[in-house]
Amino acid sequence: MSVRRVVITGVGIVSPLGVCPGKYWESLKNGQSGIGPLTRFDGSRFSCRLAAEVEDNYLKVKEGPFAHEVKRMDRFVRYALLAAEGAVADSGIQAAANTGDKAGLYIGVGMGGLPHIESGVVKQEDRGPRRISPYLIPSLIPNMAASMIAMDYGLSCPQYTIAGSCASGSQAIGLAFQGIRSGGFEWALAGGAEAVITPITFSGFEALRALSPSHHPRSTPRPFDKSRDGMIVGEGAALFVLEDRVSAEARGANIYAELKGYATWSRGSHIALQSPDDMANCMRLALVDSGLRDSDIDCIYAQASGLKKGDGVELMALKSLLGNGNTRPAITSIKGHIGHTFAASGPFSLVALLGALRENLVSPTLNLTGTEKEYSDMNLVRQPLPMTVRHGLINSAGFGGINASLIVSGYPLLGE
Amino acid sequence: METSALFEKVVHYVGDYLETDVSHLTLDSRMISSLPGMDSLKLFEMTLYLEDRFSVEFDESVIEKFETVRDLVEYLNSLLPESSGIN
Repeated sequence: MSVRRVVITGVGIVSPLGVCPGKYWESLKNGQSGIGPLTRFDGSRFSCRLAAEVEDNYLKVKEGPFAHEVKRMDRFVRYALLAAEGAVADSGIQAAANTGDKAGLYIGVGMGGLPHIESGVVKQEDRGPRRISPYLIPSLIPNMAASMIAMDYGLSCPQYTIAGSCASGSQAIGLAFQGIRSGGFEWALAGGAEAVITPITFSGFEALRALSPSHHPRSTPRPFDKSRDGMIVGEGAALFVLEDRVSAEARGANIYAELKGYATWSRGSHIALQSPDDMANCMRLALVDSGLRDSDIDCIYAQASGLKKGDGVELMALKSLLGNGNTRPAITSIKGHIGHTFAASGPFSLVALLGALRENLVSPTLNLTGTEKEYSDMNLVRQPLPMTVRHGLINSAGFGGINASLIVSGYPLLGE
Repeated sequence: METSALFEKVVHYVGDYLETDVSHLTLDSRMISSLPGMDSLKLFEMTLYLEDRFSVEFDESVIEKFETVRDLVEYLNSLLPESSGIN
């Protein structure tokens, strides 16, 4: 069996910068931030009182047989469902029951329904266990994002939920890519969803000293910056329709880009901190998978979220990957714009990379003014950077030592 | 007459819960098959909703035994105090 090539034909997002991928990209380019004061709950008892929240008015529920259930789902499920609807509509693919046997469904979810877990515990203690809704468990289990999408479209197909922390979404896209490439199915819905803006999340991350204490939403977080002081919690979902290239071309689909390579690699040496060697190894493996070299990569959308140690590890890994002689790739991050969306962060980086490939321009890392001296020769992007973008890399990493990297190329590729 | 007044309230609250028009209900309507999309999960959650509306507490063992709206209304009637204004 010949190896299939895999292209991206549909994009759907629910983000702190809106639900339109085009406007999201414009905001990234123009340095607009989706971060603001917490409104979901009273944050006065926390040092961090900022978040990148999705506006409630996007949470519309369409009429249908599962409208009642959708309204009871935790936000990550609803975001995933809306992003799926956007991606399917954008691609024009017939995601109906009769095409389900050709499809795959891969959704990355890091923390599932923490908000409903927390509110459920509070209700249980306040009013007793018998007052808990029978929808509590179905609303919060991580697979329900993929399951509600399958129910919504009547898809009978392999359905996977990937829980690989902040690498989940990239892993989901990578696994879908491998599934199509190997001939397992013709198309897939893949991406990530996360929505954990709830007090217990802030308690947990403040215990880890991971959140920025800054109260200035226009200057925090500061990915890669030498004065970075922590991340900001974001939320949302970004999903894609991936297709066998021949099938997509045959139906005249609008093709955004081609997925060229994927790797995931872990060797957990610390529960919360990455190893630069393993992170670099993951990116190298993705390059090998793609048949490209590091010198072919024009830009890198990095994991960088503003964490003092985490961003430093990534800079070490990138320096190791590229070697001292290759300072050409433009390196950037979207976390200054939309905070850390955890499982959705890799997919949101992919939406940005599609914009970069289309416009030959790399979006800036918001709030980056200068990095540590030892990395000052790296091409960290502070302003919108016009340049030829043929191939890009997305780097994702999560707790437990999980890494995932994607290689994406323009379509049609210049010179092909 | 008292049952009729309670029935009207129950229909109103069931419609609120399901966010749909259920004015077709009669006392003899079947609890599951007469309500659009009704299933056991919705029935359990709906009883929590009715408990809040009527300030009562259902016996867990009776919920799945409601076959008709009349069963529900009569059970509710048995829970409500005389002073509720409905009995």
